Amino acid sequence: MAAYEGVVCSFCGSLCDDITVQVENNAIVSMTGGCAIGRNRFMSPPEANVPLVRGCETSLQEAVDAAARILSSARYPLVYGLSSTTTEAQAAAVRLAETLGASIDSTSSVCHGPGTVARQMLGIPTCTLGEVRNRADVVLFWGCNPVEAHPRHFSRYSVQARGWKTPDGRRNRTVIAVDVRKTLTAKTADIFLQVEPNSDFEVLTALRALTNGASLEGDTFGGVPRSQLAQAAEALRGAKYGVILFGMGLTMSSGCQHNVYQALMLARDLNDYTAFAVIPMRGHGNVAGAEAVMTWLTGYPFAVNFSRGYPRYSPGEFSAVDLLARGEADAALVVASDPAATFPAVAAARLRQIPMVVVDPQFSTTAQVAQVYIPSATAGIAAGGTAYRMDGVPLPLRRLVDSEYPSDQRILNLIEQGVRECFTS
Amino acid sequence: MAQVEAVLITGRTVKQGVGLAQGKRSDLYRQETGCVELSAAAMAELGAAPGDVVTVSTEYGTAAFACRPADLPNSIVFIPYGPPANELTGHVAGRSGMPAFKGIGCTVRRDDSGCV
Repeated sequence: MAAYEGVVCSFCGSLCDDITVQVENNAIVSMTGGCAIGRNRFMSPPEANVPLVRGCETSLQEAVDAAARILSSARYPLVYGLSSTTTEAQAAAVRLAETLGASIDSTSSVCHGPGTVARQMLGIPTCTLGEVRNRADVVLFWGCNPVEAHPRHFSRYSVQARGWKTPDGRRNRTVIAVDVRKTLTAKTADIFLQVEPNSDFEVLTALRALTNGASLEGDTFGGVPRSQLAQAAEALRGAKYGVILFGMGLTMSSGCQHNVYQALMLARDLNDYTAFAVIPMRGHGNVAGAEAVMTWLTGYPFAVNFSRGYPRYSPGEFSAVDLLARGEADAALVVASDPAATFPAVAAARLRQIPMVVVDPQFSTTAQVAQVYIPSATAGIAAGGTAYRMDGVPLPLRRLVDSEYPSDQRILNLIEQGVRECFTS
Repeated sequence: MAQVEAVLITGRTVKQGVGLAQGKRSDLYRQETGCVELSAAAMAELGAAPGDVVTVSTEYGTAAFACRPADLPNSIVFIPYGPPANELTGHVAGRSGMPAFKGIGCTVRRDDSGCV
């Protein structure tokens, strides 16, 4: 039996890197550390899948050839997904999209994309999760629920975690939660602001005003009493080192990028009084990597189009849901993602109408309606590489067991080679 | 038929995440993504008990869910992310590519068919 220490779990953006895994006869037999979700990720290997073309079992090479034919003959191909694979595979996908003249988009456009747009407008005062652990004495969770979505965030980084300036963990911290629901995260908070749906911009604006000492007319703002907002403003200004951790309660609610813009402005205001940072609570394990890779290769983080031979960027135009909902994409390559299960019905319906290639360790909902399905080795379990944590720190993913199928990166390189051959034949 | 007008929020739960890790064909994933959370007052208004089937409708679609009580304002219903929830979400132009996953007006009705 082999034991691997310091293994990274790549399920969510926390990328917990303190996991020990025991492997025997090329199978994970036990693990220590990790959350309930991580334990199930490591201990539930994908079913034994095989390459399929139109539902019929085939060889890897024939599936790759069929994928290349579909993508090379499309007028407007879409490459999508990428957030649960390695940065190396993400880079291969960008190169393939460029070869195809395709649009390429990651799950970022349906999670934190608007936050990225806001960061492009304003910049972001940010820090690592290590700094949160060691320094943060005021933690503001806005529109996120880490107790359920990032189960070890509290204990490793943000609430109970003990660090240099926070030796007593929770007792050294004031926790503020803002949400439309009294979530499990909100129930642990010292101050909870329950906002009305789609009122985050209004509440953030009022909170900024109170933080800056302005007078306000009115007793409630977005459902939050003035007295509670004043209490939160006082706590924020009293921080020695504060951090705002925001989730999709901001990016998915009415206002989208404007909500995040106001949150970034709040941090900018607070930096006039004390030190404050902002970190997006990224969901998928390597969605931050998808943005990083696309940015260093194309100049843009998501929703990139290569149809003119050079990269163009336009969220709302080249983002996957929009391309599908408008019926523009006529073929799709989906990598390590399941848009048929996660997209709004109108976009998912379009995916079912067009020829689609899926590269994924799981025979997902999307794979079940694809013309070509190519199983791949699971990143971080059967394939090594790199992933970016929610704070932008890159961490190594290890290959713990062998797979009979190649990595996503290898498959994408093979498809690109096939596409080039189709274009020249 | 009793009905409740509310605002729909979709989001993550631990069970949904564990089910995701087990596989989307797992019983846990299907059960969790097939639930809708309502306030106790909303359930009383519908005359629904935990586990009863209700239909949720938005301008984008309708789907059936098993209901369960939760600590929510009466005006909010919550559904874990998953294929049933996405029958109710929609594409909205001009939102930087972000679909309407949260803050959608909806109607909840008790469904006497008993089918989810």
